[in-house]
Amino acid sequence: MIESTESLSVGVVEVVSVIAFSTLFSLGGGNGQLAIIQDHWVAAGVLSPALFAWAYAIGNFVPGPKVSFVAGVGYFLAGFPGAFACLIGVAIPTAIGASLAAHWYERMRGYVEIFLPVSGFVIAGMMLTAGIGLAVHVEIAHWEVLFVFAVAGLVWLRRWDPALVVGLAAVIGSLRGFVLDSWVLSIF
Amino acid sequence: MQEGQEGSPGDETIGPRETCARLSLFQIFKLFFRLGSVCFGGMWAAMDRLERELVDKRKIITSEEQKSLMLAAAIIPAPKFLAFAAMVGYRIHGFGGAVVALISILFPGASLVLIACVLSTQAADSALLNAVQHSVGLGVIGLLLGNAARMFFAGNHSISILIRGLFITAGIPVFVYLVQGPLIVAACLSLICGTFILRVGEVIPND
Repeated sequence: MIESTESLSVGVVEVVSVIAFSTLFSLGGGNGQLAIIQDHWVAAGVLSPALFAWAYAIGNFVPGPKVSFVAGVGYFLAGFPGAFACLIGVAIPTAIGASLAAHWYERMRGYVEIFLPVSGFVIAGMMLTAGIGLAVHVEIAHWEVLFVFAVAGLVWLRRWDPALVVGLAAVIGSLRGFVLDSWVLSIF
Repeated sequence: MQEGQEGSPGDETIGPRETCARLSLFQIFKLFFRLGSVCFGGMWAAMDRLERELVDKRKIITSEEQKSLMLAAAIIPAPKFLAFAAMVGYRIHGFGGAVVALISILFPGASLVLIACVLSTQAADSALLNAVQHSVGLGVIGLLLGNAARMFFAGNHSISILIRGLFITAGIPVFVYLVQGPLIVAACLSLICGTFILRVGEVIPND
């Protein structure tokens, strides 16, 4: 259920801080950022799981970096200033980190590589935590559990792209919504 | 730094240089705005297009430098595609170039996300939209769990490393949901403790 953003009162400073911090957990290509956002705002009840998932889903369908989904998270948290704050939050650490890395690539690589071996396990743990956190906040029917595990298996073993997963889920959802809410209910 | 030596093997910097094609900030904006508008699927998926635009057409970087920057972007703590754009921007025009490059590559996608979110807010009462959101939410949960498994098994580690890794990975949700500790603390603790547990150097991918 989409809620109005007018009643939300997350400050832009908080948005910038959390997003900037979460950006640091994008190490190694894993999206640890999702886990930080889920933990800070979704688990705390500030942002609904549906809106969080919605923003992330849209981010997979647009061109450019997938991290652009944070604009949607920011909008749902604090309107347009929140969206802008999220982009600033992503841009600041990235600009600094990328510039430093570009300048001292070889020197920095040694330090970063210290944490690289373990980063995969840590980010896996963060994503697992985020997945559990979202699942706890969503009403899931028994058959939907199968759907979730089927998706997880396909993503893991068949390397399904996020856009494919989100697109398929959207199609299933729209068919289900259309059938249940329009046809069946009107007939009976 | 002597011209012509930068970017060579053993060189410690790949920063802005004289030999790099010098574009104005506005030209950098136009270039990365266009890349941000046409590249789908993340940095690796956009590799060919990036090569065509940055290496073949504009000769801003060489093919080897592109690969080097992509690897660098993957190992620094930032979204890969953004970091890559910022590093290329830095090579062209220093820190200002980095900022302009990442803002311009982020702008098209972020604008579309924002428009979609605003429109979906307008349709908040739609049962169809709610059904779609519910399904997408389930898909995202599956996506997170699947990606967690992928990240865990990435690297073709030995059984011994995987067992130790299991403690590192499982320790985070245990700390968050059973101990009720903050995720950030769990992640930082896992990163530090895990580094010692795995003893750097033992985890060498087979490929």
